[in-house]
Amino acid sequence: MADNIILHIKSPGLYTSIQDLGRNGYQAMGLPSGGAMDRTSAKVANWLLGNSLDTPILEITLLGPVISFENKCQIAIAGADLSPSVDNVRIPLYKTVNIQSGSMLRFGRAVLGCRAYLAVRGKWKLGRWLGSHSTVPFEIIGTMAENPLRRGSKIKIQPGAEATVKSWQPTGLTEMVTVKKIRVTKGPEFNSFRKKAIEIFHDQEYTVSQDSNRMGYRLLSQNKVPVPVNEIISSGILPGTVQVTRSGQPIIMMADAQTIGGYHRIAHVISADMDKLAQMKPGDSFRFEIMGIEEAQKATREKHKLVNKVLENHI
Amino acid sequence: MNETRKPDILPFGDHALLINFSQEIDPEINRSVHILARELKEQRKLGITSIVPAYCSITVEYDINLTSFTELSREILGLFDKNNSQNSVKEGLRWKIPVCYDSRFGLDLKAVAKYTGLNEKEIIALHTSMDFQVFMLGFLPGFAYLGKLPAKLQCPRKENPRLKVAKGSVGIAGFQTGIYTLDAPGGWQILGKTPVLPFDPERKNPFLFSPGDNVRFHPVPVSVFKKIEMSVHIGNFKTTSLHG
Repeated sequence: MADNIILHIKSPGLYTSIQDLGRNGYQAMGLPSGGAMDRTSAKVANWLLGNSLDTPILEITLLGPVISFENKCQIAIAGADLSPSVDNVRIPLYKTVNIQSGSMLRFGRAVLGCRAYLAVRGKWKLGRWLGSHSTVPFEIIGTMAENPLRRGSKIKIQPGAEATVKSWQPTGLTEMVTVKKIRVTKGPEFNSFRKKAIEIFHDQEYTVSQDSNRMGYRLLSQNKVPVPVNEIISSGILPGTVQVTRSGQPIIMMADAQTIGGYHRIAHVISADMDKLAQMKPGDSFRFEIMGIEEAQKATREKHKLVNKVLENHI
Repeated sequence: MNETRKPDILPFGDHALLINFSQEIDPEINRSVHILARELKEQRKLGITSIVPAYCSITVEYDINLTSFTELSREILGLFDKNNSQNSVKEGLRWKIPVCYDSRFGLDLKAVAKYTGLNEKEIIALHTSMDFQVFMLGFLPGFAYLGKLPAKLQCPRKENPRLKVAKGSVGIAGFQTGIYTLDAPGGWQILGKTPVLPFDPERKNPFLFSPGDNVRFHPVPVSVFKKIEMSVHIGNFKTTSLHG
């Protein structure tokens, strides 16, 4: 049997973590489901290599890591264009790339999007916790010691049979930057906001603040959204929930958000737009568009259909 | 069981719904929340993917390919009616949790005494005098919001939260009490510390408490605290010994 592939993390970049499709079933215990922020890109990266879609991937944020490869392997990168290169030669996104032993993967300028997903062909030899490899947003010594990755971290991967080189033309990515719109449905407390507050919420532009991460995005805007005077009793929140804090600032819950919140839930990002949101970086701007539940589900189904059409050719 | 008013069901995003009971923090209403949440958990055919109970609401995620908001709402209300009439209450577990109220752990005993006008003995007696209900879990993994505290013991959060409260610290805030499951920033008034771990990532079931369980604290001296702490540390401690 071939030797294990070893990824040496020479520099971790801004925030590089091991993720998969999340850890479902423990939200009632206060544990967020987590997992890749842009699920579609994570799946596509694995698909390009013939890995099962829940194989771990590296989620790379804006400033990429430097990784050296011990033993030859195949990789694929999907999602954000962070100018990846191998031994100083640019490599394409959305394509199977063959890597020679001793090669060095680096990233450069963030050209498009915020999060890139690096898949490696084979079986990742990592311990799982509660069925998942994804990070948790808490200090849990032992279980998650090397996740997020640090300088000197090593990842062992048992090579799989060589995959046929594949590529994919991403459909949603350019739309992501040109259409600066995030679609939402009305949240549970939507009707407690005054008409004027809803108008403000809907009509203005928002900018993703620097204070945004896997737990949530804080949004900056010209006008504060007036909050209803009544306080609400803490209740469930989900990735996609848009809460308005007491100061009138909307925040969007993301993959690692807490499970319970205490602010008014004005809106909820539709499932189909969560990947797009995951690709927004601090400084990016957008507007909200409010739509009905059925319309939102239709958009979600259409997106699933589009993605599944590609992923169904899975070998 | 008291008759609880039929809950409202609202859409919550495109693949979840919110079951809102009468919006107040009340142990009776919260019990109804947990009864319905447990019932929903047992229904495997409804297309539900996640259930998160809170004080007076339940967040339910569902698979839009298996059910719809309308269909699932109808089924949930049906279950609620059945429960309300049948009175078939499945209770959660009851836990007896040792707490050392020694001054080395009870960092805010003095402040609480000052605020409430109780002496330390009375504070400990009140804190160990009754069963507290696990209203919900959140904030930290396995962190149980417990209540309600006797009115005489209630006091506000600290004005200046601590940057780090030690794992195992037992605090109170308002009508609630709880155990910090990890080292974390926090503003609750700390009365003592437990040597047992309500959350242990290395344990087969990392979470001690489930929503709807009951917790009773009992005071232990430093010597017993240390003994249990050692036994937890070397992996000898059986959490089943805490069932009471």
